[in-house]
Amino acid sequence: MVILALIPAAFAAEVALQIDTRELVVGQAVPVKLQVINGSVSGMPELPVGAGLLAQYQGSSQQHVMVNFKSTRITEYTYQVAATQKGVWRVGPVNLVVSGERMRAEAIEVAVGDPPVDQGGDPVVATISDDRPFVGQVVVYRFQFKYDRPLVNARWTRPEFLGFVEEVNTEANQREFQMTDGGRPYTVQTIEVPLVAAGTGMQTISPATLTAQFKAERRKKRSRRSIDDVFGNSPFGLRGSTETLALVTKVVPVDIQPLPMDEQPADFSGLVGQFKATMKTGQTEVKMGESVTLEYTLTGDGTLAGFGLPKAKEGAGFRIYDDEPEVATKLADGRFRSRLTLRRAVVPEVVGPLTIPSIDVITFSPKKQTYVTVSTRPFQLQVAPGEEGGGVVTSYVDQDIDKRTAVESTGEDILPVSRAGGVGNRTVAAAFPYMAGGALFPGIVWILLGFVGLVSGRKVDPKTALKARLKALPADPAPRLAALESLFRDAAALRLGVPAPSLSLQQVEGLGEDAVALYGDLERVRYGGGDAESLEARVRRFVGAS
Amino acid sequence: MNVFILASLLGCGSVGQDSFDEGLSTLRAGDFNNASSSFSEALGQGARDPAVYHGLGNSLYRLGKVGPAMAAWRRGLALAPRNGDIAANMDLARKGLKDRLEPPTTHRGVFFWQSALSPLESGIFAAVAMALGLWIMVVGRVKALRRRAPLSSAAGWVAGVSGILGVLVALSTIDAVNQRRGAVIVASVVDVRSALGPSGVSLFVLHEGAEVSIADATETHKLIALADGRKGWVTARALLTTDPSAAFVLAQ
Repeated sequence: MVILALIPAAFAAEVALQIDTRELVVGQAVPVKLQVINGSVSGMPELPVGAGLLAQYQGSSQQHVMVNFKSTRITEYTYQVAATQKGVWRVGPVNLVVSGERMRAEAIEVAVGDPPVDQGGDPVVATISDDRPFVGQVVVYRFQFKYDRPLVNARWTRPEFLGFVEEVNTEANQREFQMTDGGRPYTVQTIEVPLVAAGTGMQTISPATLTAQFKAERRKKRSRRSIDDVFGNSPFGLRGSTETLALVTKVVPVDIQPLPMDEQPADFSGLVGQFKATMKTGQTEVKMGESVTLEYTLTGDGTLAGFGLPKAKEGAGFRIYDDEPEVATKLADGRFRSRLTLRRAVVPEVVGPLTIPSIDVITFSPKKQTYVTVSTRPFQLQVAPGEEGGGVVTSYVDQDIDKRTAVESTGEDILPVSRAGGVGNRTVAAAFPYMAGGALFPGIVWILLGFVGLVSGRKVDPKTALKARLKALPADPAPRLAALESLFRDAAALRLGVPAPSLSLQQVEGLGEDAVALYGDLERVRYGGGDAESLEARVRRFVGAS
Repeated sequence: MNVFILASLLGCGSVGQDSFDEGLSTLRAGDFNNASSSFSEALGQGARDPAVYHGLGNSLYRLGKVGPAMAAWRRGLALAPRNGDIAANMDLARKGLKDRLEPPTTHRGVFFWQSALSPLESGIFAAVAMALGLWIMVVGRVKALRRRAPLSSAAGWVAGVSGILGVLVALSTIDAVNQRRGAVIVASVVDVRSALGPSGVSLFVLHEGAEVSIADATETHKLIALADGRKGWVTARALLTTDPSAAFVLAQ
């Protein structure tokens, strides 16, 4: 990464200071590197530091880098800088003579904060920045974990913040410090969570839990093998053994106090904390028709979530147009900081001197335990007459936009009932029996007619029945002859349309001579005369002719 | 008007006329309490008529009961969707409501004709169309039994089309009747929750006059649906149904 960063400057002598972090705490030490690129310095360069810092030279190293077939030489001087005092301090600048040329590495500013709280022998501890906050005040919950053994893994379980809500614009902050105590190095990890007090009365923050996995110390010495050189620190977890500890903090009691309601102003903004407001602009003169941009800034240590700037009064000789406010928050060194920036365009409506009044925001100060008005200074503006047509903005952008709107009823009053005729039940339920009956009645008739047709279609055709009987004549001569006679009578009766039992010779005469002859022959055969076999053929013909 | 005459013939004859007339006269006289009582009485006597619901809605609106007035007007409009006066009154009342909601649909899009027809009108049309088709079929069967020439193909087509049309319109009528069984919020504010009982969380709040659809119901609660798809459970006491056949009972 360093090599890539240096590529653009690979061919010119250059010096630079590098530090890992610009936020330290008292007792913390960090390495600072002075890089000399493509040049040589005689002797050990001195690193000047502020009064709250101590610098100690550690050594130097050199490396060559090939960039586009050209060699770049980097000489790196390493110093250990320790923070001894709280404040903002400078590291550098460093003035050097590099290859006969005077060069300068610019200074770096480092902020030194309070050290982690002394936790004695406790490996984990939880604290809060204020144990008697007011409702709406931001407090910082701090979890601190101290260890001096190789740590493989650590998992923190967040406690339950009863009576608080987490500040919406800021995330929890996690930091790690390398400290020393009597020459023995140890590490402190901190997790800070900004919280807004929401409930009142005595509240408790539940214990936080940390599950830490340490590399186990080997008790027995054994011979070192070559494989240990590769996996000695067990980067893949293959050879090292670990020890897991569950560490729990104590509960943190907090007494949240309500805001004094008796003296609360009606236009209290809801902000709780120490705030400061400024308003600035780059110009004091403006022409009529033009606008001036004011920048309003509100900074403090309270939450700005949900805060809105008071609206400017109408008719003050100007119009204002606000941008969306920008809110930035920061959590550092156990302190919460917030900043709101709003750009406001002011368009004067009158020529001459114009006073932009102050913006007053009423806040509650936990420090003073009273309501405080945070104001900006009024702003004077000189408005010059504009050019002819100034202030009239002509735009042709929306000329082809359909400006018609939906027809809206004037809606002066509700309309009265206009029908005074007969009223009745107009629901479907009321008319349903009649509608269903009217629709289903022809359907029922249709179905009944279907049955009628079905029944009439099932009557046996008498001619077909006669033919069927002809096919099933008895085998014995006497019953066969009786059946033939019965068939003849039924066929004749069918032809004549008279009942078979009452059939007489006179009636048979109406069917012709053959029928009369057959009738007589059948009579004779019944009493023992005539040829029964020829009769059967004649009866078959007669029935078939029927 | 012809439909109302036909409806009268179908058993929807005049009922509750005296109470309705009394309600009209007291409404015009500015006695809104008595007017609403008279219109409610007419409803109790079976006069489920758009004019009665119109008058009841007007009297309730004058009494400041916007939610019940909206419910009465919706019932009137369900019975007479072409009644512009009721629609205008609802339009005016909606402007004063706290919740800007799209009113629930009164029919499915495929049954577009229901926007102009009342369920009674479409029901009568369906019955007549089905009866026509069936009577033509009866004539055809009689001719077949008498061994006469069958019906012409044109008559067969008429019977078929009438029957199908009748069934389609009958389905649309059933749909319209079901779709118009919505409800109106009559409580000033009501919490709409995700579930019945303590496990339900508050989803949103509705105010008096909001028109909703009913997706499901228990004895004490109803699952309401808004036109934008949101759903939630509401206590049944906070609602008044827009079903014109249901009793118009205002919670005390």
